[in-house]
Amino acid sequence: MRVSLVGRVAHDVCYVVQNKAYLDYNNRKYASTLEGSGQRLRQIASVVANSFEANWTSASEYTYDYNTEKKLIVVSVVKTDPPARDPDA
Amino acid sequence: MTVPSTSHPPARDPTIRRVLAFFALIAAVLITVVALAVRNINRAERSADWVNHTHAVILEIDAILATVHAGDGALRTFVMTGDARDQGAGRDAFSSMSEHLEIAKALTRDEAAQHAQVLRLETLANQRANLTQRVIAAWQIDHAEAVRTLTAADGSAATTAEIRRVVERLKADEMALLAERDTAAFLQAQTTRWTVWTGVALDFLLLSATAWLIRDDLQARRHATAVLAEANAQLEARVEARTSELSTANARLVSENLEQRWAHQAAEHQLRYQQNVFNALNDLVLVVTKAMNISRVNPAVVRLTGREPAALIDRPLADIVRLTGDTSVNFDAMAVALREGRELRAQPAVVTDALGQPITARLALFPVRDRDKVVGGIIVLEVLGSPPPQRDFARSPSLL
Repeated sequence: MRVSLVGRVAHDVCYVVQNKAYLDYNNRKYASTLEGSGQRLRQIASVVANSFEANWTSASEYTYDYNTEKKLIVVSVVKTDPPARDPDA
Repeated sequence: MTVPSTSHPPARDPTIRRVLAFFALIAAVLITVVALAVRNINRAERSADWVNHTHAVILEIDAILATVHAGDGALRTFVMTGDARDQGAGRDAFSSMSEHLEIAKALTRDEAAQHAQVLRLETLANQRANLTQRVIAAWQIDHAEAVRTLTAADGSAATTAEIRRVVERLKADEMALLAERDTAAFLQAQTTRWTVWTGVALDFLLLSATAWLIRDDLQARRHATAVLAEANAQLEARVEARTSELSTANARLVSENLEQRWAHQAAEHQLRYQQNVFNALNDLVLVVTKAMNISRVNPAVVRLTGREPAALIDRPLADIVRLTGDTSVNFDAMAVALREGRELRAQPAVVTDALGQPITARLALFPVRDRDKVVGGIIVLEVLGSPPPQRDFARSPSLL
Protein backbone atom coordinates (compact mmCIF):
# COMPACT_ATOMS: atom_id res chain seq x y z
CA MET A 1 0.00 0.00 0.00
CA ARG A 2 0.98 3.60 -0.56
CA VAL A 3 0.62 6.30 2.08
CA SER A 4 0.63 9.89 0.88
CA LEU A 5 2.35 12.09 3.48
CA VAL A 6 2.17 15.86 3.68
CA GLY A 7 5.28 17.46 2.17
CA ARG A 8 7.03 14.10 1.73
CA VAL A 9 7.40 11.43 -0.86
CA ALA A 10 4.63 8.86 -0.59
CA HIS A 11 5.64 5.87 1.51
CA ASP A 12 5.11 2.28 0.36
CA VAL A 13 4.63 -0.62 2.77
CA CYS A 14 3.42 -4.19 2.45
CA TYR A 15 0.89 -5.39 4.98
CA VAL A 16 1.12 -9.03 6.07
CA VAL A 17 -2.32 -10.08 7.27
CA GLN A 18 -1.07 -13.19 9.11
CA ASN A 19 1.38 -11.15 11.17
CA LYS A 20 -0.93 -8.17 11.62
CA ALA A 21 2.06 -6.03 10.71
CA TYR A 22 3.50 -4.26 7.71
CA LEU A 23 6.90 -4.53 6.06
CA ASP A 24 8.57 -1.19 5.82
CA TYR A 25 10.70 -1.23 2.69
CA ASN A 26 12.12 2.20 3.44
CA ASN A 27 13.33 1.13 6.83
CA ARG A 28 16.18 -1.24 6.06
CA LYS A 29 18.59 -0.33 8.81
CA TYR A 30 16.87 -2.61 11.30
CA ALA A 31 16.97 -6.39 11.21
CA SER A 32 13.24 -6.59 11.74
CA THR A 33 11.19 -4.40 9.47
CA LEU A 34 7.84 -5.58 10.74
CA GLU A 35 5.69 -2.92 12.37
CA GLY A 36 2.49 -4.00 14.07
CA SER A 37 -0.77 -2.28 13.19
CA GLY A 38 -4.43 -2.85 12.50
CA GLN A 39 -5.33 -4.16 9.07
CA ARG A 40 -7.51 -1.28 7.92
CA LEU A 41 -5.83 1.17 5.57
CA ARG A 42 -6.61 4.06 7.91
CA GLN A 43 -4.91 2.29 10.83
CA ILE A 44 -1.83 1.38 8.78
CA ALA A 45 -1.59 4.92 7.37
CA SER A 46 -1.78 6.39 10.88
CA VAL A 47 1.02 4.16 12.16
CA VAL A 48 3.18 4.92 9.13
CA ALA A 49 2.55 8.68 9.41
CA ASN A 50 3.24 8.63 13.16
CA SER A 51 6.55 6.90 12.53
CA PHE A 52 7.50 9.89 10.35
CA GLU A 53 5.92 12.37 12.77
CA ALA A 54 3.89 13.61 9.84
CA ASN A 55 0.30 13.86 8.65
CA TRP A 56 -1.10 11.71 5.89
CA THR A 57 -3.71 12.65 3.34
CA SER A 58 -4.61 9.40 1.59
CA ALA A 59 -3.66 5.74 1.51
CA SER A 60 -4.16 3.34 -1.38
CA GLU A 61 -4.00 -0.40 -1.70
CA TYR A 62 -2.56 -1.48 -5.04
CA THR A 63 -1.36 -4.53 -6.89
CA TYR A 64 1.70 -4.80 -9.09
CA ASP A 65 2.00 -6.98 -12.12
CA TYR A 66 5.60 -7.95 -12.91
CA ASN A 67 4.67 -8.95 -16.44
CA THR A 68 3.09 -5.68 -17.45
CA GLU A 69 5.08 -3.71 -14.84
CA LYS A 70 1.91 -1.85 -13.96
CA LYS A 71 0.50 -0.78 -10.65
CA LEU A 72 -3.24 -1.00 -10.19
CA ILE A 73 -4.94 0.89 -7.37
CA VAL A 74 -7.63 -1.24 -5.74
CA VAL A 75 -9.06 1.04 -3.03
CA SER A 76 -8.13 4.39 -1.58
CA VAL A 77 -8.87 5.89 1.84
CA VAL A 78 -8.89 9.63 2.47
CA LYS A 79 -8.07 10.92 5.93
CA THR A 80 -10.74 13.61 5.96
CA ASP A 81 -13.50 11.14 5.07
CA PRO A 82 -15.56 9.64 7.90
CA PRO A 83 -13.90 6.32 8.84
CA ALA A 84 -17.24 4.53 8.54
CA ARG A 85 -17.33 5.31 4.87
CA ASP A 86 -13.88 3.92 4.11
CA PRO A 87 -13.94 1.36 1.27
CA ASP A 88 -12.34 -1.24 3.55
CA ALA A 89 -14.60 -0.54 6.51
CA MET B 1 3.67 30.41 81.31
CA THR B 2 2.23 28.26 78.60
CA VAL B 3 -0.77 29.26 76.57
CA PRO B 4 -3.27 26.50 75.86
CA SER B 5 -3.47 25.53 72.24
CA THR B 6 -6.42 27.07 70.38
CA SER B 7 -5.92 25.22 67.10
CA HIS B 8 -9.04 24.00 65.32
CA PRO B 9 -9.53 21.24 62.79
CA PRO B 10 -8.64 22.61 59.34
CA ALA B 11 -12.15 22.06 57.98
CA ARG B 12 -13.59 24.52 60.49
CA ASP B 13 -11.17 27.29 59.61
CA PRO B 14 -13.09 29.65 57.28
CA THR B 15 -9.88 30.93 55.68
CA ILE B 16 -8.77 27.42 54.78
CA ARG B 17 -12.26 26.75 53.40
CA ARG B 18 -12.04 29.89 51.27
CA VAL B 19 -8.52 29.02 50.08
CA LEU B 20 -9.64 25.51 49.20
CA ALA B 21 -12.63 26.95 47.35
CA PHE B 22 -10.32 29.23 45.39
CA PHE B 23 -8.00 26.35 44.54
CA ALA B 24 -11.00 24.29 43.47
CA LEU B 25 -12.08 27.19 41.25
CA ILE B 26 -8.56 27.47 39.82
CA ALA B 27 -8.53 23.74 39.16
CA ALA B 28 -11.96 23.98 37.50
CA VAL B 29 -10.74 26.84 35.28
CA LEU B 30 -7.60 24.88 34.41
CA ILE B 31 -9.58 21.77 33.55
CA THR B 32 -12.03 23.83 31.47
CA VAL B 33 -9.21 25.61 29.66
CA VAL B 34 -7.41 22.34 29.01
CA ALA B 35 -10.63 20.71 27.76
CA LEU B 36 -11.40 23.69 25.50
CA ALA B 37 -7.80 23.88 24.29
CA VAL B 38 -7.72 20.17 23.49
CA ARG B 39 -11.05 20.48 21.67
CA ASN B 40 -9.75 23.48 19.72
CA ILE B 41 -6.51 21.65 18.95
CA ASN B 42 -8.54 18.74 17.64
CA ARG B 43 -10.57 21.12 15.52
CA ALA B 44 -7.41 22.85 14.34
CA GLU B 45 -5.96 19.45 13.47
CA ARG B 46 -9.07 18.64 11.46
CA SER B 47 -8.80 22.03 9.74
CA ALA B 48 -5.14 21.34 9.01
CA ASP B 49 -6.16 17.96 7.63
CA TRP B 50 -8.55 19.70 5.29
CA VAL B 51 -5.84 22.16 4.23
CA ASN B 52 -3.50 19.22 3.61
CA HIS B 53 -6.29 17.48 1.77
CA THR B 54 -6.74 20.47 -0.53
CA HIS B 55 -3.01 20.64 -1.19
CA ALA B 56 -3.04 16.92 -1.94
CA VAL B 57 -5.83 17.39 -4.49
CA ILE B 58 -3.92 20.23 -6.14
CA LEU B 59 -0.74 18.15 -6.21
CA GLU B 60 -2.55 15.20 -7.72
CA ILE B 61 -4.14 17.37 -10.41
CA ASP B 62 -0.80 18.93 -11.20
CA ALA B 63 0.72 15.46 -11.31
CA ILE B 64 -1.99 14.36 -13.76
CA LEU B 65 -1.21 17.28 -16.02
CA ALA B 66 2.51 16.65 -15.68
CA THR B 67 2.18 12.96 -16.50
CA VAL B 68 0.00 13.77 -19.51
CA HIS B 69 2.66 16.18 -20.72
CA ALA B 70 5.37 13.63 -19.99
CA GLY B 71 3.46 10.91 -21.82
CA ASP B 72 2.84 13.17 -24.81
CA GLY B 73 6.47 14.20 -24.93
CA ALA B 74 7.67 10.61 -24.71
CA LEU B 75 5.22 9.64 -27.48
CA ARG B 76 6.44 12.37 -29.78
CA THR B 77 10.04 11.45 -29.17
CA PHE B 78 9.24 7.79 -29.74
CA VAL B 79 7.51 8.59 -33.04
CA MET B 80 10.57 10.53 -34.15
CA THR B 81 13.28 8.20 -32.87
CA GLY B 82 11.55 4.84 -32.44
CA ASP B 83 13.57 4.36 -29.25
CA ALA B 84 12.02 1.70 -26.97
CA ARG B 85 13.10 3.71 -23.88
CA ASP B 86 10.83 6.56 -24.98
CA GLN B 87 8.02 4.08 -25.45
CA GLY B 88 8.63 2.77 -21.91
CA ALA B 89 8.78 6.32 -20.57
CA GLY B 90 5.42 7.06 -22.15
CA ARG B 91 3.96 3.92 -20.72
CA ASP B 92 5.24 4.77 -17.26
CA ALA B 93 3.90 8.31 -17.52
CA PHE B 94 0.39 7.16 -18.41
CA SER B 95 0.53 4.46 -15.74
CA SER B 96 1.48 7.11 -13.21
CA MET B 97 -1.32 9.29 -14.57
CA SER B 98 -3.80 6.50 -13.84
CA GLU B 99 -2.57 6.29 -10.27
CA HIS B 100 -2.91 10.04 -9.77
CA LEU B 101 -6.37 9.95 -11.31
CA GLU B 102 -7.45 7.18 -8.92
CA ILE B 103 -6.11 9.10 -5.93
CA ALA B 104 -7.66 12.35 -7.17
CA LYS B 105 -11.05 10.60 -7.54
CA ALA B 106 -10.74 9.24 -4.04
CA LEU B 107 -9.74 12.64 -2.64
CA THR B 108 -12.74 14.38 -4.24
CA ARG B 109 -15.29 11.70 -3.38
CA ASP B 110 -17.17 14.05 -1.02
CA GLU B 111 -16.89 17.16 -3.23
CA ALA B 112 -19.39 16.67 -6.03
CA ALA B 113 -18.32 19.58 -8.24
CA GLN B 114 -14.63 18.76 -8.01
CA HIS B 115 -15.32 15.06 -8.42
CA ALA B 116 -17.22 15.71 -11.66
CA GLN B 117 -14.29 17.71 -12.98
CA VAL B 118 -11.88 14.93 -12.03
CA LEU B 119 -14.06 12.47 -13.90
CA ARG B 120 -13.99 14.80 -16.89
CA LEU B 121 -10.22 14.97 -16.51
CA GLU B 122 -10.08 11.19 -16.40
CA THR B 123 -12.02 10.98 -19.66
CA LEU B 124 -9.70 13.41 -21.38
CA ALA B 125 -6.58 11.77 -19.96
CA ASN B 126 -7.77 8.36 -21.04
CA GLN B 127 -8.32 9.74 -24.51
CA ARG B 128 -4.67 10.75 -24.54
CA ALA B 129 -3.69 7.31 -23.32
CA ASN B 130 -5.79 5.64 -26.02
CA LEU B 131 -4.26 7.94 -28.60
CA THR B 132 -0.85 6.87 -27.44
CA GLN B 133 -1.77 3.22 -27.82
CA ARG B 134 -3.15 3.87 -31.30
CA VAL B 135 -0.08 5.77 -32.38
CA ILE B 136 2.25 3.05 -31.11
CA ALA B 137 0.19 0.39 -32.82
CA ALA B 138 0.26 2.39 -36.06
CA TRP B 139 3.98 3.08 -35.73
CA GLN B 140 4.75 -0.63 -35.67
CA ILE B 141 2.97 -1.01 -39.01
CA ASP B 142 3.76 2.23 -40.74
CA HIS B 143 5.83 5.05 -39.26
CA ALA B 144 4.32 7.73 -41.52
CA GLU B 145 0.81 6.61 -40.65
CA ALA B 146 1.65 6.93 -37.00
CA VAL B 147 2.81 10.51 -37.48
CA ARG B 148 -0.37 11.36 -39.38
CA THR B 149 -2.56 9.78 -36.70
CA LEU B 150 -0.81 11.81 -34.01
CA THR B 151 -1.04 15.04 -35.99
CA ALA B 152 -4.69 14.51 -36.80
CA ALA B 153 -5.60 13.75 -33.23
CA ASP B 154 -3.81 16.83 -31.95
CA GLY B 155 -5.52 19.03 -34.48
CA SER B 156 -9.06 17.71 -34.07
CA ALA B 157 -9.45 17.10 -30.34
CA ALA B 158 -7.13 19.65 -28.77
CA THR B 159 -7.33 17.39 -25.75
CA THR B 160 -4.18 18.59 -24.03
CA ALA B 161 -5.38 22.16 -23.93
CA GLU B 162 -8.73 21.05 -22.54
CA ILE B 163 -6.99 18.98 -19.91
CA ARG B 164 -5.04 22.07 -18.91
CA ARG B 165 -8.22 24.14 -18.68
CA VAL B 166 -9.95 21.53 -16.51
CA VAL B 167 -6.90 21.33 -14.32
CA GLU B 168 -6.84 25.12 -13.97
CA ARG B 169 -10.53 25.21 -13.05
CA LEU B 170 -10.01 22.44 -10.55
CA LYS B 171 -7.03 24.22 -9.06
CA ALA B 172 -8.99 27.45 -8.82
CA ASP B 173 -11.80 25.65 -7.00
CA GLU B 174 -9.33 23.93 -4.70
CA MET B 175 -7.54 27.20 -4.01
CA ALA B 176 -10.88 28.72 -2.98
CA LEU B 177 -11.46 25.76 -0.71
CA LEU B 178 -7.92 26.12 0.56
CA ALA B 179 -8.49 29.77 1.45
CA GLU B 180 -11.74 28.86 3.19
CA ARG B 181 -10.14 26.00 5.14
CA ASP B 182 -7.09 28.06 5.99
CA THR B 183 -9.36 30.75 7.41
CA ALA B 184 -11.11 28.10 9.49
CA ALA B 185 -7.73 26.83 10.72
CA PHE B 186 -6.62 30.37 11.52
CA LEU B 187 -9.81 31.05 13.48
CA GLN B 188 -9.38 27.78 15.34
CA ALA B 189 -5.84 28.72 16.26
CA GLN B 190 -7.00 32.17 17.34
CA THR B 191 -9.78 30.66 19.44
CA THR B 192 -7.27 28.32 21.05
CA ARG B 193 -4.98 31.24 21.76
CA TRP B 194 -7.80 33.28 23.29
CA THR B 195 -9.02 30.34 25.32
CA VAL B 196 -5.59 29.62 26.75
CA TRP B 197 -4.77 33.25 27.49
CA THR B 198 -8.18 33.89 29.03
CA GLY B 199 -7.75 30.83 31.21
CA VAL B 200 -4.26 31.90 32.22
CA ALA B 201 -5.50 35.42 33.05
CA LEU B 202 -8.42 34.03 35.03
CA ASP B 203 -6.17 31.65 36.91
CA PHE B 204 -3.73 34.48 37.57
CA LEU B 205 -6.56 36.58 39.01
CA LEU B 206 -7.75 33.67 41.14
CA LEU B 207 -4.22 32.98 42.34
CA SER B 208 -3.79 36.67 43.16
CA ALA B 209 -7.04 36.62 45.11
CA THR B 210 -5.89 33.49 46.93
CA ALA B 211 -2.53 35.09 47.71
CA TRP B 212 -4.29 38.21 49.00
CA LEU B 213 -6.57 36.04 51.11
CA ILE B 214 -3.64 34.12 52.59
CA ARG B 215 -1.72 37.35 53.21
CA ASP B 216 -4.75 38.95 54.87
CA ASP B 217 -5.25 35.87 57.01
CA LEU B 218 -1.60 35.80 58.00
CA GLN B 219 -1.81 39.46 59.01
CA ALA B 220 -4.92 38.74 61.06
CA ARG B 221 -3.19 35.79 62.70
CA ARG B 222 -0.11 37.89 63.44
CA HIS B 223 -2.35 40.54 64.99
CA ALA B 224 -4.16 37.90 67.03
CA THR B 225 -0.82 36.48 68.16
CA ALA B 226 0.33 39.94 69.22
CA VAL B 227 -2.91 40.52 71.13
CA LEU B 228 -2.56 37.12 72.75
CA ALA B 229 1.04 37.83 73.69
CA GLU B 230 -0.02 41.15 75.21
CA ALA B 231 -2.82 39.43 77.12
CA ASN B 232 -0.35 36.81 78.29
CA ALA B 233 2.02 39.51 79.47
CA GLN B 234 -0.81 41.19 81.39
CA LEU B 235 -1.82 37.86 82.80
CA GLU B 236 1.76 37.17 83.83
CA ALA B 237 1.87 40.53 85.60
CA ARG B 238 -1.43 39.82 87.36
CA VAL B 239 -0.24 36.36 88.35
CA GLU B 240 2.99 37.78 89.69
CA ALA B 241 1.08 40.42 91.68
CA ARG B 242 -1.31 37.82 92.98
CA THR B 243 1.57 35.51 93.87
CA SER B 244 3.21 38.34 95.74
CA GLU B 245 -0.04 39.02 97.61
CA LEU B 246 -0.38 35.35 98.45
CA SER B 247 3.21 35.21 99.67
CA THR B 248 2.61 38.21 101.90
CA ALA B 249 -0.63 36.70 103.20
CA ASN B 250 1.10 33.39 103.77
CA ALA B 251 3.88 35.07 105.74
CA ARG B 252 1.28 36.93 107.77
CA LEU B 253 -0.63 33.70 108.39
CA VAL B 254 2.55 31.92 109.42
CA SER B 255 3.26 34.74 111.85
CA GLU B 256 -0.32 34.70 113.15
CA ASN B 257 -0.23 30.94 113.45
CA LEU B 258 2.96 31.18 115.47
CA GLU B 259 1.41 33.81 117.70
CA GLN B 260 -1.71 31.69 118.11
CA ARG B 261 0.40 28.67 118.94
CA TRP B 262 2.23 30.69 121.51
CA ALA B 263 -1.09 32.00 122.90
CA HIS B 264 -2.46 28.49 122.96
CA GLN B 265 0.60 27.21 124.73
CA ALA B 266 0.28 30.07 127.23
CA ALA B 267 -3.40 29.26 127.74
CA GLU B 268 -2.57 25.58 128.23
CA HIS B 269 0.12 26.55 130.67
CA GLN B 270 -2.29 28.84 132.51
CA LEU B 271 -4.94 26.13 132.53
CA ARG B 272 -2.52 23.58 133.86
CA TYR B 273 -1.38 26.08 136.48
CA GLN B 274 -4.97 26.80 137.47
CA GLN B 275 -5.66 23.07 137.57
CA ASN B 276 -2.71 22.59 139.84
CA VAL B 277 -3.91 25.41 142.06
CA PHE B 278 -7.43 23.94 142.00
CA ASN B 279 -6.08 20.53 142.90
CA ALA B 280 -3.75 21.85 145.60
CA LEU B 281 -6.54 23.45 147.67
CA ASN B 282 -7.36 21.67 150.96
CA ASP B 283 -10.78 23.27 150.98
CA LEU B 284 -13.51 21.40 149.17
CA VAL B 285 -14.32 23.13 145.90
CA LEU B 286 -17.34 22.11 143.89
CA VAL B 287 -18.45 23.70 140.66
CA VAL B 288 -22.22 23.64 140.31
CA THR B 289 -24.64 24.47 137.57
CA LYS B 290 -27.45 26.97 137.87
CA ALA B 291 -29.66 24.02 138.78
CA MET B 292 -27.31 23.29 141.65
CA ASN B 293 -25.96 20.07 140.18
CA ILE B 294 -22.31 19.22 140.63
CA SER B 295 -20.28 19.59 137.44
CA ARG B 296 -16.76 19.41 138.82
CA VAL B 297 -14.93 18.73 142.10
CA ASN B 298 -11.36 19.10 143.31
CA PRO B 299 -9.32 16.20 144.72
CA ALA B 300 -9.97 17.43 148.29
CA VAL B 301 -13.65 16.56 147.85
CA VAL B 302 -12.74 13.00 146.73
CA ARG B 303 -10.21 12.63 149.48
CA LEU B 304 -12.53 13.91 152.25
CA THR B 305 -15.82 12.35 151.17
CA GLY B 306 -14.45 9.10 149.79
CA ARG B 307 -16.58 9.58 146.65
CA GLU B 308 -15.13 9.24 143.17
CA PRO B 309 -15.74 12.13 140.74
CA ALA B 310 -17.94 9.86 138.61
CA ALA B 311 -20.22 9.38 141.64
CA LEU B 312 -20.47 13.11 142.18
CA ILE B 313 -20.65 14.66 138.73
CA ASP B 314 -24.18 15.54 137.60
CA ARG B 315 -25.58 14.73 141.03
CA PRO B 316 -27.46 17.37 143.02
CA LEU B 317 -25.33 19.25 145.48
CA ALA B 318 -27.89 18.50 148.15
CA ASP B 319 -26.85 14.83 148.07
CA ILE B 320 -23.64 15.54 149.90
CA VAL B 321 -23.98 19.05 151.30
CA ARG B 322 -26.62 20.54 153.49
CA LEU B 323 -26.79 23.88 155.22
CA THR B 324 -27.16 24.12 158.94
CA GLY B 325 -27.72 27.03 161.29
CA ASP B 326 -30.01 29.78 160.00
CA THR B 327 -32.95 27.98 158.56
CA SER B 328 -33.80 30.98 156.37
CA VAL B 329 -30.91 30.12 154.18
CA ASN B 330 -31.59 26.93 152.34
CA PHE B 331 -30.82 25.46 148.97
CA ASP B 332 -33.53 27.46 147.30
CA ALA B 333 -32.03 30.58 148.69
CA MET B 334 -28.63 29.44 147.32
CA ALA B 335 -30.16 28.84 143.97
CA VAL B 336 -31.81 32.27 144.00
CA ALA B 337 -28.54 33.89 145.05
CA LEU B 338 -26.79 32.06 142.25
CA ARG B 339 -29.32 33.14 139.66
CA GLU B 340 -29.09 36.71 140.90
CA GLY B 341 -25.34 36.57 140.91
CA ARG B 342 -24.93 37.18 144.59
CA GLU B 343 -22.28 35.68 146.78
CA LEU B 344 -22.94 33.83 150.01
CA ARG B 345 -20.21 33.58 152.60
CA ALA B 346 -19.65 31.79 155.88
CA GLN B 347 -22.72 29.64 155.79
CA PRO B 348 -22.53 26.67 158.21
CA ALA B 349 -22.88 23.38 156.38
CA VAL B 350 -22.44 19.66 156.76
CA VAL B 351 -20.78 17.45 154.17
CA THR B 352 -21.75 13.81 154.17
CA ASP B 353 -18.98 11.39 153.22
CA ALA B 354 -19.26 8.00 151.59
CA LEU B 355 -19.83 6.29 154.94
CA GLY B 356 -22.63 8.73 155.82
CA GLN B 357 -20.53 10.51 158.41
CA PRO B 358 -21.14 14.27 158.63
CA ILE B 359 -18.27 16.68 158.32
CA THR B 360 -18.83 20.19 159.60
CA ALA B 361 -17.77 22.93 157.24
CA ARG B 362 -18.28 26.55 156.30
CA LEU B 363 -19.78 27.19 152.91
CA ALA B 364 -19.19 30.02 150.47
CA LEU B 365 -20.93 30.48 147.13
CA PHE B 366 -19.36 32.45 144.26
CA PRO B 367 -21.38 32.92 141.06
CA VAL B 368 -19.56 32.22 137.78
CA ARG B 369 -20.32 34.68 134.96
CA ASP B 370 -19.86 34.52 131.28
CA ARG B 371 -20.31 37.98 129.79
CA ASP B 372 -22.42 39.20 132.69
CA LYS B 373 -24.57 36.14 132.62
CA VAL B 374 -24.49 33.69 135.50
CA VAL B 375 -23.77 30.26 134.17
CA GLY B 376 -22.99 28.43 137.42
CA GLY B 377 -21.34 28.76 140.74
CA ILE B 378 -18.42 27.66 142.84
CA ILE B 379 -19.03 26.16 146.26
CA VAL B 380 -16.08 26.34 148.67
CA LEU B 381 -16.37 24.30 151.85
CA GLU B 382 -13.87 25.03 154.60
CA VAL B 383 -13.71 22.08 157.01
CA LEU B 384 -14.02 23.31 160.53
CA GLY B 385 -11.79 21.87 163.21
CA SER B 386 -9.19 19.27 162.47
CA PRO B 387 -9.84 17.20 159.42
CA PRO B 388 -11.10 13.69 160.11
CA PRO B 389 -8.55 10.87 160.04
CA GLN B 390 -7.96 8.91 156.81
CA ARG B 391 -10.62 6.24 156.55
CA ASP B 392 -10.95 3.11 154.52
CA PHE B 393 -13.90 3.96 152.25
CA ALA B 394 -13.28 0.92 150.10
CA ARG B 395 -14.86 -1.48 152.62
CA SER B 396 -17.98 0.58 153.04
CA PRO B 397 -20.80 0.42 150.58
CA SER B 398 -21.24 3.57 148.58
CA LEU B 399 -24.21 5.65 149.46
CA LEU B 400 -24.61 6.75 145.90
